[in-house]
Amino acid sequence: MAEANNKEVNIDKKLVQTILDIGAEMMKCGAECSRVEDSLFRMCKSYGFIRYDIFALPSNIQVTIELTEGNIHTQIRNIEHISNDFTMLDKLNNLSRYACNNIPSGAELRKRYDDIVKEADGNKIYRYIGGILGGTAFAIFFGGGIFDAFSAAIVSLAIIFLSNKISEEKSNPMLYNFGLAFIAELVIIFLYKIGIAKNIDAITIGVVMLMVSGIGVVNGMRDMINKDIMSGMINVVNAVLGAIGIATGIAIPILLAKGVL
Amino acid sequence: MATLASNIWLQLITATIGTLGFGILFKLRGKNLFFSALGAFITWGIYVLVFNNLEIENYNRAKFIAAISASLSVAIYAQIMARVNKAPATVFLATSAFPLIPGANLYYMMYDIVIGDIAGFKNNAIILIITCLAMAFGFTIVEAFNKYIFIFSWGNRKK
Repeated sequence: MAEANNKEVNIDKKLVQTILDIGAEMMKCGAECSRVEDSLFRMCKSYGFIRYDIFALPSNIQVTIELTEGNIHTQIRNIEHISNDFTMLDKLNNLSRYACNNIPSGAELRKRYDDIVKEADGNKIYRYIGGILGGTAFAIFFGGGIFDAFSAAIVSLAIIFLSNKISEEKSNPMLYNFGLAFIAELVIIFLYKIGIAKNIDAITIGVVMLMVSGIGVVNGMRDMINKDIMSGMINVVNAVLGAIGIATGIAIPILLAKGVL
Repeated sequence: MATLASNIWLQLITATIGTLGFGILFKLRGKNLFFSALGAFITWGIYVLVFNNLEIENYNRAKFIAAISASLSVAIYAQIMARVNKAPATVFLATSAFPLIPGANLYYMMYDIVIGDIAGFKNNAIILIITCLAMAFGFTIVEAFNKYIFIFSWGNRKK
Protein backbone atom coordinates (compact mmCIF):
# COMPACT_ATOMS: atom_id res chain seq x y z
CA MET A 1 0.00 0.00 0.00
CA ALA A 2 2.72 2.40 1.04
CA GLU A 3 4.74 1.38 -1.99
CA ALA A 4 1.88 2.10 -4.35
CA ASN A 5 1.47 5.47 -2.68
CA ASN A 6 5.14 6.18 -3.07
CA LYS A 7 5.00 5.34 -6.76
CA GLU A 8 2.11 7.69 -7.26
CA VAL A 9 3.97 10.47 -5.50
CA ASN A 10 6.97 9.91 -7.75
CA ILE A 11 4.77 10.13 -10.83
CA ASP A 12 3.38 13.36 -9.45
CA LYS A 13 6.89 14.69 -8.91
CA LYS A 14 7.69 13.97 -12.55
CA LEU A 15 4.49 15.75 -13.52
CA VAL A 16 5.54 18.81 -11.50
CA GLN A 17 8.86 18.71 -13.33
CA THR A 18 7.10 18.72 -16.69
CA ILE A 19 4.85 21.59 -15.62
CA LEU A 20 7.89 23.52 -14.50
CA ASP A 21 9.63 22.71 -17.79
CA ILE A 22 6.72 24.22 -19.68
CA GLY A 23 6.89 27.36 -17.56
CA ALA A 24 10.66 27.68 -17.88
CA GLU A 25 10.53 27.21 -21.63
CA MET A 26 7.79 29.85 -21.91
CA MET A 27 10.01 32.24 -20.00
CA LYS A 28 12.93 31.47 -22.30
CA CYS A 29 10.75 32.22 -25.31
CA GLY A 30 9.99 35.70 -24.02
CA ALA A 31 6.80 35.40 -21.95
CA GLU A 32 6.14 37.87 -19.14
CA CYS A 33 6.56 36.58 -15.58
CA SER A 34 2.90 37.13 -14.81
CA ARG A 35 1.91 34.92 -17.73
CA VAL A 36 4.27 32.16 -16.65
CA GLU A 37 3.00 32.32 -13.08
CA ASP A 38 -0.57 32.31 -14.28
CA SER A 39 -0.06 29.31 -16.59
CA LEU A 40 1.69 27.29 -13.88
CA PHE A 41 -0.96 28.23 -11.36
CA ARG A 42 -3.78 27.12 -13.64
CA MET A 43 -2.08 23.85 -14.49
CA CYS A 44 -1.46 23.02 -10.83
CA LYS A 45 -5.05 23.87 -10.04
CA SER A 46 -6.35 21.62 -12.83
CA TYR A 47 -4.27 18.69 -11.65
CA GLY A 48 -5.93 19.04 -8.28
CA PHE A 49 -2.92 19.49 -6.01
CA ILE A 50 -3.81 20.34 -2.45
CA ARG A 51 -1.69 23.48 -2.16
CA TYR A 52 0.59 25.18 -4.61
CA ASP A 53 2.79 28.26 -4.45
CA ILE A 54 4.47 29.61 -7.53
CA PHE A 55 7.02 32.36 -7.84
CA ALA A 56 8.58 33.36 -11.15
CA LEU A 57 11.35 35.79 -11.95
CA PRO A 58 13.00 36.21 -15.36
CA SER A 59 15.92 34.18 -14.04
CA ASN A 60 14.28 31.73 -11.66
CA ILE A 61 11.04 29.82 -11.15
CA GLN A 62 10.04 28.15 -7.89
CA VAL A 63 7.10 25.92 -7.12
CA THR A 64 6.14 24.33 -3.84
CA ILE A 65 3.32 21.85 -4.05
CA GLU A 66 1.54 19.68 -1.55
CA LEU A 67 1.04 16.58 -3.69
CA THR A 68 -0.84 14.47 -1.21
CA GLU A 69 -1.62 15.14 2.42
CA GLY A 70 1.62 16.12 4.15
CA ASN A 71 3.76 15.40 1.09
CA ILE A 72 5.30 18.74 0.28
CA HIS A 73 7.55 19.05 -2.70
CA THR A 74 9.63 21.95 -4.04
CA GLN A 75 11.36 22.41 -7.37
CA ILE A 76 13.48 25.33 -8.46
CA ARG A 77 14.49 26.09 -12.00
CA ASN A 78 17.23 28.47 -13.01
CA ILE A 79 16.84 30.27 -16.32
CA GLU A 80 20.11 31.33 -17.82
CA HIS A 81 19.11 33.00 -20.96
CA ILE A 82 16.04 34.53 -22.58
CA SER A 83 15.64 34.79 -26.32
CA ASN A 84 12.53 35.42 -28.30
CA ASP A 85 10.76 32.53 -29.98
CA PHE A 86 7.16 33.58 -30.27
CA THR A 87 6.02 30.58 -32.29
CA MET A 88 7.18 28.22 -29.58
CA LEU A 89 5.64 30.48 -26.93
CA ASP A 90 2.33 30.25 -28.74
CA LYS A 91 2.54 26.46 -28.85
CA LEU A 92 3.49 26.17 -25.18
CA ASN A 93 0.68 28.49 -24.22
CA ASN A 94 -1.73 26.25 -26.12
CA LEU A 95 -0.22 23.21 -24.42
CA SER A 96 -0.82 24.72 -20.99
CA ARG A 97 -4.42 25.43 -21.94
CA TYR A 98 -4.78 21.91 -23.24
CA ALA A 99 -3.39 20.58 -19.96
CA CYS A 100 -5.91 22.61 -17.97
CA ASN A 101 -8.87 21.50 -20.05
CA ASN A 102 -8.02 17.84 -20.65
CA ILE A 103 -5.72 16.96 -17.74
CA PRO A 104 -3.52 14.53 -19.72
CA SER A 105 -1.35 11.99 -17.89
CA GLY A 106 2.17 13.05 -16.92
CA ALA A 107 3.66 10.90 -19.68
CA GLU A 108 1.40 12.38 -22.34
CA LEU A 109 2.12 15.94 -21.20
CA ARG A 110 5.85 15.20 -21.27
CA LYS A 111 5.57 13.80 -24.79
CA ARG A 112 3.64 16.80 -26.07
CA TYR A 113 6.17 19.13 -24.45
CA ASP A 114 9.13 17.24 -25.95
CA ASP A 115 7.50 17.38 -29.38
CA ILE A 116 7.16 21.17 -29.19
CA VAL A 117 10.77 21.63 -28.07
CA LYS A 118 12.00 19.29 -30.80
CA GLU A 119 10.10 21.21 -33.44
CA ALA A 120 11.92 24.46 -32.52
CA ASP A 121 12.85 26.35 -35.62
CA GLY A 122 16.62 26.27 -35.89
CA ASN A 123 16.78 27.47 -39.48
CA LYS A 124 19.50 30.13 -39.70
CA ILE A 125 18.35 31.35 -43.12
CA TYR A 126 15.27 32.92 -41.56
CA ARG A 127 17.49 34.80 -39.11
CA TYR A 128 19.40 36.31 -42.01
CA ILE A 129 16.25 37.19 -43.94
CA GLY A 130 14.59 38.72 -40.90
CA GLY A 131 17.65 40.62 -39.75
CA ILE A 132 18.43 42.10 -43.14
CA LEU A 133 14.80 43.00 -43.83
CA GLY A 134 14.41 44.63 -40.42
CA GLY A 135 17.74 46.47 -40.38
CA THR A 136 17.38 47.80 -43.91
CA ALA A 137 13.77 48.91 -43.55
CA PHE A 138 14.44 50.71 -40.28
CA ALA A 139 17.51 52.43 -41.75
CA ILE A 140 15.19 53.95 -44.37
CA PHE A 141 12.61 54.65 -41.68
CA PHE A 142 15.17 56.76 -39.83
CA GLY A 143 15.95 58.84 -42.87
CA GLY A 144 18.48 56.76 -44.80
CA GLY A 145 18.71 56.84 -48.58
CA ILE A 146 19.12 53.99 -51.03
CA PHE A 147 22.88 53.65 -50.42
CA ASP A 148 22.33 53.70 -46.68
CA ALA A 149 19.80 50.90 -47.10
CA PHE A 150 22.41 48.90 -48.97
CA SER A 151 25.00 49.54 -46.25
CA ALA A 152 22.48 48.65 -43.55
CA ALA A 153 21.88 45.32 -45.27
CA ILE A 154 25.62 44.58 -45.20
CA VAL A 155 25.90 45.54 -41.54
CA SER A 156 22.84 43.49 -40.60
CA LEU A 157 24.33 40.52 -42.39
CA ALA A 158 27.55 40.95 -40.42
CA ILE A 159 25.67 41.21 -37.12
CA ILE A 160 23.55 38.12 -37.70
CA PHE A 161 26.63 36.20 -38.80
CA LEU A 162 28.52 37.24 -35.66
CA SER A 163 25.63 36.60 -33.32
CA ASN A 164 25.32 33.10 -34.75
CA LYS A 165 28.99 32.56 -33.95
CA ILE A 166 29.06 34.04 -30.44
CA SER A 167 26.84 31.99 -28.24
CA GLU A 168 24.62 34.45 -26.46
CA GLU A 169 23.89 31.94 -23.74
CA LYS A 170 27.32 31.91 -22.25
CA SER A 171 28.25 35.55 -22.55
CA ASN A 172 27.29 38.52 -20.47
CA PRO A 173 24.57 40.56 -22.27
CA MET A 174 26.41 43.83 -21.81
CA LEU A 175 29.65 42.48 -23.28
CA TYR A 176 27.75 40.66 -26.00
CA ASN A 177 25.94 43.83 -27.07
CA PHE A 178 29.16 45.80 -26.75
CA GLY A 179 30.98 43.41 -29.08
CA LEU A 180 28.25 43.37 -31.69
CA ALA A 181 27.74 47.14 -31.63
CA PHE A 182 31.47 47.79 -31.76
CA ILE A 183 31.97 45.66 -34.85
CA ALA A 184 28.81 46.95 -36.51
CA GLU A 185 29.93 50.53 -36.02
CA LEU A 186 33.40 49.78 -37.41
CA VAL A 187 31.78 48.32 -40.53
CA ILE A 188 29.51 51.35 -40.85
CA ILE A 189 32.41 53.80 -40.55
CA PHE A 190 34.37 51.79 -43.08
CA LEU A 191 31.43 51.90 -45.52
CA TYR A 192 31.19 55.64 -44.91
CA LYS A 193 34.87 56.13 -45.62
CA ILE A 194 34.78 54.27 -48.91
CA GLY A 195 31.80 56.37 -49.89
CA ILE A 196 28.94 53.87 -49.91
CA ALA A 197 27.19 54.95 -46.73
CA LYS A 198 26.03 58.55 -46.46
CA ASN A 199 23.99 58.79 -43.30
CA ILE A 200 25.75 57.07 -40.39
CA ASP A 201 22.96 57.96 -37.93
CA ALA A 202 20.21 56.26 -39.91
CA ILE A 203 22.18 53.07 -40.43
CA THR A 204 23.31 52.84 -36.84
CA ILE A 205 19.84 53.42 -35.44
CA GLY A 206 18.20 51.06 -37.91
CA VAL A 207 20.65 48.27 -37.27
CA VAL A 208 21.21 48.88 -33.58
CA MET A 209 17.52 48.29 -33.12
CA LEU A 210 18.29 44.69 -34.00
CA MET A 211 19.98 44.43 -30.66
CA VAL A 212 18.43 47.06 -28.48
CA SER A 213 15.68 45.56 -26.44
CA GLY A 214 13.97 48.83 -25.73
CA ILE A 215 10.89 46.74 -25.19
CA GLY A 216 12.73 45.30 -22.18
CA VAL A 217 12.55 48.64 -20.39
CA VAL A 218 8.87 48.96 -21.23
CA ASN A 219 8.11 45.43 -20.07
CA GLY A 220 10.05 46.07 -16.89
CA MET A 221 8.03 49.19 -16.18
CA ARG A 222 4.84 47.28 -16.86
CA ASP A 223 5.91 44.61 -14.40
CA MET A 224 6.60 47.22 -11.76
CA ILE A 225 3.26 48.95 -12.30
CA ASN A 226 1.66 45.51 -11.97
CA LYS A 227 3.44 45.10 -8.61
CA ASP A 228 5.94 42.54 -9.93
CA ILE A 229 8.70 44.76 -8.57
CA MET A 230 11.45 42.16 -8.61
CA SER A 231 10.95 40.95 -12.15
CA GLY A 232 10.43 44.55 -13.25
CA MET A 233 13.75 45.56 -11.79
CA ILE A 234 15.52 42.61 -13.37
CA ASN A 235 14.05 43.46 -16.78
CA VAL A 236 14.83 47.17 -16.54
CA VAL A 237 18.37 46.62 -15.28
CA ASN A 238 19.01 44.03 -17.99
CA ALA A 239 17.75 46.37 -20.68
CA VAL A 240 19.75 49.30 -19.32
CA LEU A 241 22.93 47.21 -19.11
CA GLY A 242 22.36 46.02 -22.67
CA ALA A 243 21.82 49.60 -23.79
CA ILE A 244 25.03 50.73 -22.05
CA GLY A 245 26.87 47.95 -23.87
CA ILE A 246 25.49 49.11 -27.20
CA ALA A 247 26.14 52.78 -26.52
CA THR A 248 29.75 52.13 -25.53
CA GLY A 249 30.25 49.82 -28.47
CA ILE A 250 29.12 52.56 -30.82
CA ALA A 251 30.84 55.42 -29.03
CA ILE A 252 34.36 54.00 -29.15
CA PRO A 253 34.62 53.64 -32.95
CA ILE A 254 33.09 57.10 -33.37
CA LEU A 255 35.63 58.56 -30.95
CA LEU A 256 38.47 56.76 -32.71
CA ALA A 257 37.29 57.90 -36.12
CA LYS A 258 36.62 61.47 -35.08
CA GLY A 259 39.31 62.66 -37.43
CA VAL A 260 37.80 61.03 -40.49
CA LEU A 261 34.15 61.82 -39.86
CA MET B 1 16.99 65.63 -33.00
CA ALA B 2 15.90 62.40 -34.48
CA THR B 3 15.18 62.61 -38.16
CA LEU B 4 12.78 60.31 -39.91
CA ALA B 5 12.09 59.56 -43.56
CA SER B 6 10.49 62.68 -45.03
CA ASN B 7 7.52 60.97 -46.63
CA ILE B 8 4.90 59.65 -44.20
CA TRP B 9 3.95 56.79 -46.52
CA LEU B 10 7.60 55.78 -46.73
CA GLN B 11 7.72 55.79 -42.92
CA LEU B 12 4.62 53.63 -42.72
CA ILE B 13 5.83 51.13 -45.31
CA THR B 14 9.34 50.81 -43.89
CA ALA B 15 7.98 50.49 -40.33
CA THR B 16 5.76 47.66 -41.52
CA ILE B 17 8.49 45.86 -43.46
CA GLY B 18 11.00 46.39 -40.66
CA THR B 19 8.62 44.91 -38.11
CA LEU B 20 7.98 42.02 -40.47
CA GLY B 21 11.74 41.44 -40.52
CA PHE B 22 12.09 41.56 -36.74
CA GLY B 23 9.03 39.33 -36.46
CA ILE B 24 10.84 36.74 -38.58
CA LEU B 25 13.89 37.18 -36.34
CA PHE B 26 11.64 36.50 -33.33
CA LYS B 27 10.56 33.32 -35.10
CA LEU B 28 7.04 34.41 -35.85
CA ARG B 29 5.48 32.67 -38.83
CA GLY B 30 2.26 32.64 -40.78
CA LYS B 31 -0.72 34.74 -39.82
CA ASN B 32 0.73 35.83 -36.48
CA LEU B 33 3.58 37.40 -38.44
CA PHE B 34 1.19 39.10 -40.82
CA PHE B 35 -0.91 40.57 -38.01
CA SER B 36 2.19 41.79 -36.16
CA ALA B 37 3.35 43.70 -39.21
CA LEU B 38 -0.15 45.08 -39.75
CA GLY B 39 -0.12 46.17 -36.12
CA ALA B 40 3.09 48.14 -36.70
CA PHE B 41 1.42 49.92 -39.61
CA ILE B 42 -1.56 50.87 -37.43
CA THR B 43 0.65 51.88 -34.50
CA TRP B 44 2.83 54.19 -36.53
CA GLY B 45 -0.21 55.52 -38.42
CA ILE B 46 -1.85 56.59 -35.17
CA TYR B 47 1.38 58.04 -33.84
CA VAL B 48 1.87 60.19 -36.93
CA LEU B 49 -1.79 61.17 -37.05
CA VAL B 50 -1.78 62.36 -33.45
CA PHE B 51 1.64 63.97 -33.59
CA ASN B 52 0.89 65.96 -36.74
CA ASN B 53 -2.67 66.98 -36.00
CA LEU B 54 -2.54 67.88 -32.34
CA GLU B 55 -1.70 71.53 -32.09
CA ILE B 56 0.56 71.37 -29.08
CA GLU B 57 3.46 73.74 -28.92
CA ASN B 58 5.43 71.84 -26.34
CA TYR B 59 7.38 69.26 -28.32
CA ASN B 60 7.84 66.85 -25.42
CA ARG B 61 4.17 66.98 -24.54
CA ALA B 62 3.18 66.29 -28.14
CA LYS B 63 5.58 63.34 -28.15
CA PHE B 64 4.09 61.97 -24.95
CA ILE B 65 0.51 62.25 -26.15
CA ALA B 66 1.34 60.73 -29.52
CA ALA B 67 3.27 57.88 -27.90
CA ILE B 68 0.55 57.13 -25.36
CA SER B 69 -2.17 57.18 -28.05
CA ALA B 70 -0.15 54.83 -30.21
CA SER B 71 0.71 52.50 -27.33
CA LEU B 72 -2.92 52.40 -26.17
CA SER B 73 -4.03 51.43 -29.63
CA VAL B 74 -1.30 48.84 -30.11
CA ALA B 75 -2.19 47.30 -26.76
CA ILE B 76 -5.89 47.13 -27.70
CA TYR B 77 -4.92 45.73 -31.08
CA ALA B 78 -2.75 43.08 -29.40
CA GLN B 79 -5.58 42.03 -27.08
CA ILE B 80 -8.00 41.71 -30.00
CA MET B 81 -5.48 39.77 -32.06
CA ALA B 82 -4.73 37.52 -29.10
CA ARG B 83 -8.41 36.62 -28.89
CA VAL B 84 -8.83 36.23 -32.66
CA ASN B 85 -5.70 34.14 -33.21
CA LYS B 86 -5.70 32.40 -29.80
CA ALA B 87 -2.09 33.40 -29.14
CA PRO B 88 -0.49 35.29 -26.24
CA ALA B 89 -0.94 39.06 -26.52
CA THR B 90 2.79 39.64 -25.91
CA VAL B 91 3.53 38.16 -29.31
CA PHE B 92 1.70 41.00 -31.04
CA LEU B 93 2.57 43.66 -28.49
CA ALA B 94 6.33 43.14 -28.53
CA THR B 95 6.53 43.20 -32.32
CA SER B 96 3.88 45.74 -33.33
CA ALA B 97 5.27 48.31 -30.90
CA PHE B 98 8.69 48.19 -32.57
CA PRO B 99 8.41 51.53 -34.41
CA LEU B 100 7.68 53.28 -31.10
CA ILE B 101 10.87 52.13 -29.40
CA PRO B 102 13.04 55.21 -28.85
CA GLY B 103 16.18 53.69 -30.33
CA ALA B 104 16.99 56.95 -32.09
CA ASN B 105 17.02 58.89 -28.83
CA LEU B 106 19.29 56.35 -27.23
CA TYR B 107 21.70 56.74 -30.14
CA TYR B 108 21.65 60.54 -30.08
CA MET B 109 22.04 60.52 -26.31
CA MET B 110 25.22 58.53 -26.69
CA TYR B 111 26.35 60.67 -29.59
CA ASP B 112 25.79 63.87 -27.58
CA ILE B 113 27.98 62.52 -24.80
CA VAL B 114 30.72 61.73 -27.29
CA ILE B 115 30.66 65.20 -28.85
CA GLY B 116 30.11 66.89 -25.47
CA ASP B 117 26.68 68.40 -26.17
CA ILE B 118 25.14 68.21 -22.70
CA ALA B 119 21.97 70.13 -23.62
CA GLY B 120 21.30 67.73 -26.47
CA PHE B 121 22.00 64.81 -24.15
CA LYS B 122 19.42 66.10 -21.67
CA ASN B 123 16.79 66.61 -24.36
CA ASN B 124 17.21 63.14 -25.76
CA ALA B 125 17.26 61.55 -22.31
CA ILE B 126 13.99 63.28 -21.45
CA ILE B 127 12.32 62.13 -24.66
CA LEU B 128 13.63 58.61 -24.09
CA ILE B 129 12.12 58.48 -20.61
CA ILE B 130 8.88 60.12 -21.74
CA THR B 131 8.44 57.61 -24.55
CA CYS B 132 9.18 54.60 -22.36
CA LEU B 133 6.75 55.85 -19.71
CA ALA B 134 4.06 56.57 -22.29
CA MET B 135 4.42 53.05 -23.66
CA ALA B 136 4.35 51.47 -20.21
CA PHE B 137 1.27 53.49 -19.21
CA GLY B 138 -0.52 52.69 -22.45
CA PHE B 139 0.13 48.98 -22.13
CA THR B 140 -0.80 48.89 -18.45
CA ILE B 141 -4.06 50.81 -18.87
CA VAL B 142 -5.27 48.34 -21.48
CA GLU B 143 -4.11 45.40 -19.39
CA ALA B 144 -5.98 46.69 -16.36
CA PHE B 145 -9.15 47.27 -18.37
CA ASN B 146 -8.82 43.85 -19.88
CA LYS B 147 -8.61 42.28 -16.43
CA TYR B 148 -11.39 44.20 -14.75
CA ILE B 149 -13.86 44.25 -17.61
CA PHE B 150 -14.15 40.49 -17.29
CA ILE B 151 -14.55 40.64 -13.54
CA PHE B 152 -17.30 43.24 -13.72
CA SER B 153 -19.26 41.89 -16.65
CA TRP B 154 -19.05 38.14 -16.28
CA GLY B 155 -17.73 37.67 -12.81
CA ASN B 156 -14.33 36.07 -12.36
CA ARG B 157 -14.86 33.70 -15.22
CA LYS B 158 -12.67 30.74 -15.98
CA LYS B 159 -10.49 31.36 -18.98
